[in-house]
Amino acid sequence: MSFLNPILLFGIAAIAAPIIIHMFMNRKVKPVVWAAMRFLKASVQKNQKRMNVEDLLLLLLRCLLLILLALALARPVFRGAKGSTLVRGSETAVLLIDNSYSMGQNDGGKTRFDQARDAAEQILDSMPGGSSVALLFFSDVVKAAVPDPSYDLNLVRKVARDATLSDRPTNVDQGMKQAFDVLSRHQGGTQHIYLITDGQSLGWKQFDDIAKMIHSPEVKTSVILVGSPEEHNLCVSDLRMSSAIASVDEAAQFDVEVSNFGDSEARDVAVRISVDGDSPTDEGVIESIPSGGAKRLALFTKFRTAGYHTVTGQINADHLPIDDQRTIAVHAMDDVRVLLVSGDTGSDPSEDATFYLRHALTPISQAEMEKYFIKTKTIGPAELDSTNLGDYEAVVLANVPDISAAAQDAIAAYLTRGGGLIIFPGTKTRAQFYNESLAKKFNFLPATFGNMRGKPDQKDNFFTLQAKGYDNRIVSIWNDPNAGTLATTHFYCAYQLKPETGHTDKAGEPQVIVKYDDGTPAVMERPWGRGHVILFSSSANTSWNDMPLRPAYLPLIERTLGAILDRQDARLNVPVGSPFEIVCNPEWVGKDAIITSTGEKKEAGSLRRVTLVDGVPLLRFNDTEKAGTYEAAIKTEPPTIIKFAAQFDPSESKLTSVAQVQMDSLAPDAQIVRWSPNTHIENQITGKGGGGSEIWSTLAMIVLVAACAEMTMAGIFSEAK
Amino acid sequence: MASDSQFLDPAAIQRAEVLGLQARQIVEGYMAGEHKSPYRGFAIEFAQHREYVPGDDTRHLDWKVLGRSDRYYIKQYEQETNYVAHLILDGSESMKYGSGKVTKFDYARTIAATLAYLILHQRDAASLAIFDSAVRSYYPRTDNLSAIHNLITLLANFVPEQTTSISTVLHDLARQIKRKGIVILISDLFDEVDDVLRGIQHLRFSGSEVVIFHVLDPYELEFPFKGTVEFRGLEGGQKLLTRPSELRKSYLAEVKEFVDKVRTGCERNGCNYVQVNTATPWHEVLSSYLATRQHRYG
Repeated sequence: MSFLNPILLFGIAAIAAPIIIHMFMNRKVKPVVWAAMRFLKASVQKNQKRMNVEDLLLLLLRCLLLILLALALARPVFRGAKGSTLVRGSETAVLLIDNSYSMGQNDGGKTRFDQARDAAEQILDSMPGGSSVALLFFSDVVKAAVPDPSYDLNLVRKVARDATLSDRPTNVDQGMKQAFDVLSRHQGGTQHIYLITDGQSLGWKQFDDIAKMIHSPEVKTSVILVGSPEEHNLCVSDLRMSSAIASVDEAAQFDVEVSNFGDSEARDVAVRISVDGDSPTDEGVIESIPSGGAKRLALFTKFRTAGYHTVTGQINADHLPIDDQRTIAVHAMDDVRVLLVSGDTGSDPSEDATFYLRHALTPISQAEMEKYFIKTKTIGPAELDSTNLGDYEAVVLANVPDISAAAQDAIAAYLTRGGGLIIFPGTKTRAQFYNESLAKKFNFLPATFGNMRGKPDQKDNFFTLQAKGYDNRIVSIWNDPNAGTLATTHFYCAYQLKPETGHTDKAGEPQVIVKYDDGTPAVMERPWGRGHVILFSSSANTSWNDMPLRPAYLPLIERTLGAILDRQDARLNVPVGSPFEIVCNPEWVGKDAIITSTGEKKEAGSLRRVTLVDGVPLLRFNDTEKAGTYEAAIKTEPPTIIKFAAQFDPSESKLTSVAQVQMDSLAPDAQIVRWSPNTHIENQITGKGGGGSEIWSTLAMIVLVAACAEMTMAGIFSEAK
Repeated sequence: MASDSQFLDPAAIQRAEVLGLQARQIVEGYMAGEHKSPYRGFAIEFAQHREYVPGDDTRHLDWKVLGRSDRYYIKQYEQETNYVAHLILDGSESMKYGSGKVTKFDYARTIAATLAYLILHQRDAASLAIFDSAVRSYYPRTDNLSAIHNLITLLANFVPEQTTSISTVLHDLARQIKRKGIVILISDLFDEVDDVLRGIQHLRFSGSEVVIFHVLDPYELEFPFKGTVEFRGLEGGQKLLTRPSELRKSYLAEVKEFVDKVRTGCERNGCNYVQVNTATPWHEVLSSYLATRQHRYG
């Protein structure tokens, strides 16, 4: 036997009350001086024994009454073995409903989530009287809609009806853990978890852990599987801009990846792309996607205005609509400003450390320079102290020997706010300064400079970059042989890059962008703060290599700048449920912003404010639970619109169910019910009996009878005799 | 017995005056209400005849003489001085009980004072004895009305202090009373009933007419207590803790049995038994008794 409210057993101590009252009553007496003692004594002699017995009886009855009342309030439960056939008592239950986005799948009628809610209602309808139910919705996070078991089943029913799907992937383990946690805090009764899910295999990754929980003898588990198996599902699993930079009126290429999670090959998959929710600007067809495979299609669009835009890649709708489109936010710029810091101007302009960089970034005539979207400015290291880095999207240090402490702090602040730093070494570079200050002190650099490899004047003794296997997006275009190659570049001299290990709060994990043919890093990158640092091992001009003379130089520099900008854009696109934050203009601090999601009216939007965080003006928004576009309207004059997007996890689109063998293995410990609208869930679940039965109502009846008996007896006993 | 100092005590004097006044008022009230001759009281005897003259009370016509001789004669009476009323008042501690302002002893001595006043006023003789386990105060026989003050003072200043032993006192009195008379016993009779009845029987045997005023408090007759009560005995200092409401019926049965036994015993011995509830006004008790007596003795 156990108790639902064991704390109330302390109420048994209340039996002291009648005893104390009994004793007190005998002490609180009224003295009367009396003459006719002889008659009184005779009367007492005849009646005292009877009165003592009556007193004792009443005392015992009152004590018993209080004990029974305390027991009833403590709600004792007689447990039987799991699966025994005791009369089904009231339950302390947790309704654990899968609200991952795969539950949005429908087969022409109700979605799986609708069916889950119907099943939940049937379960609530079948609950024995006195049951209490908590309601949890789970995906990869658990949302406690009714966090503690409530006796108000109508409330639970209403909350279940009003619930909506999430755009998150599923994780049964998380949900089960929390359900057990709820029950551990509400001991007693038949503890029952009703897990209502579509049985998607993704959610059962930690099958052994889940099975272990289900095996618990204390808690009964019923797994209610809803929805029919789905054989076809296509998903827009990725959408990214493959152009280096998104600029106004320039064609921007976007790669749309479509994954086939169906059992059979998908043919002639139409793919469209649109900007800001308008009509498609480009479309194409993927002829064939094998089962379990994915294919990319390059589609193009243009941004007519500078600012924030959303780009949506879309396929034709199927039974799971949410994954048939994907939206990303892009910041289209009419000006990309790059600050080139030259550490060596040379005797001839072509010997300037930034000469080739400048031309690569603005590969146009002088006359067209004004109109071109990339604007460069070249300065010497000494001018760096007096330059406002915030005016530039990227800063390039080319063959700079060292920089002042003030410049180092300025760069740290610049990177914190999201700036980009590109470093090219050269003959004047003081490796020791870079290693000690920029690498060790500030952790800016993804690597330290090691030994010098090769010599600038021994051009016959060259080495090259890797010829294939370009994983990084900056160089990934050279995986296509038609795009040329990086491997023809001759490097005569370069620093060996010794990658930094680990990461700090600000400095992210170092990554290799491209390697030399011997496998040593040639270019590396590291996120720092909200910014990005890219470190080359060789010069930006022809002093240590012939790269500027190669066709690949221009796209490499442009894509490197694009990676810097892309990093800034990446912050516009967050996974569903992840916090969004964007660095704002310092003048916007204290301004309010109304944030609305797709289809949401402005009045229903969320109010946020631009605030200074560690000196950085930030707009933050955590409630990105829905996949799709969000729009932040900052109350500036005129209003500033920032668009960002939340991305769903494509893994959830794989609708494959957990293997039947695995489900069968749970059967000894759990009731597995495959639910359909015609299923009477009560028969399937309660038919096998519960884990215990409550007797509080019986006790309450006994208390009532005892109370009546006490009153009657007290009345009879106190009558004159 | 009250000491001299008590007689000089102004409070005692006041008590006596109040008691005397009270007794007088009761008697006069009784007489006014009944419109009866004060000579038709306790001890009056026929003296002679005289011829009727207009204005005489026709009730005193001797109808037998009229029947025999056709002449109108009025019967004349004279006081019987051989009769004496012995007022015996219980002054034991149990008489101190009173649920209201008036204790049984207060009530009893008022009856005694009233009867003494009435008797002396009728020129009969009266004596007074106040007893508990023995006679504590005694006023010898007197037929002088002016002695009433002293008698009442004695009554007023007596303080009950001892336990009772009625039968002993009655036996003693029975031995002491030389001439037949009326013995008026005023008591709660809280003693062994059989012994009390034997004492009464002894009095009757000595030729005295015995009148019993059985004085009881209404609480003793009704026992209306509630809750838990500790009863502390007035005689003997006993204590008894109980819930009286649960004993009420049983107690009342005991009291009834006692009263019935006393009444039956008195009647069997030819005594006049008068149960007195101290809640009843004195004059009502007296009127009722005297009316009964008048009816009985003509």
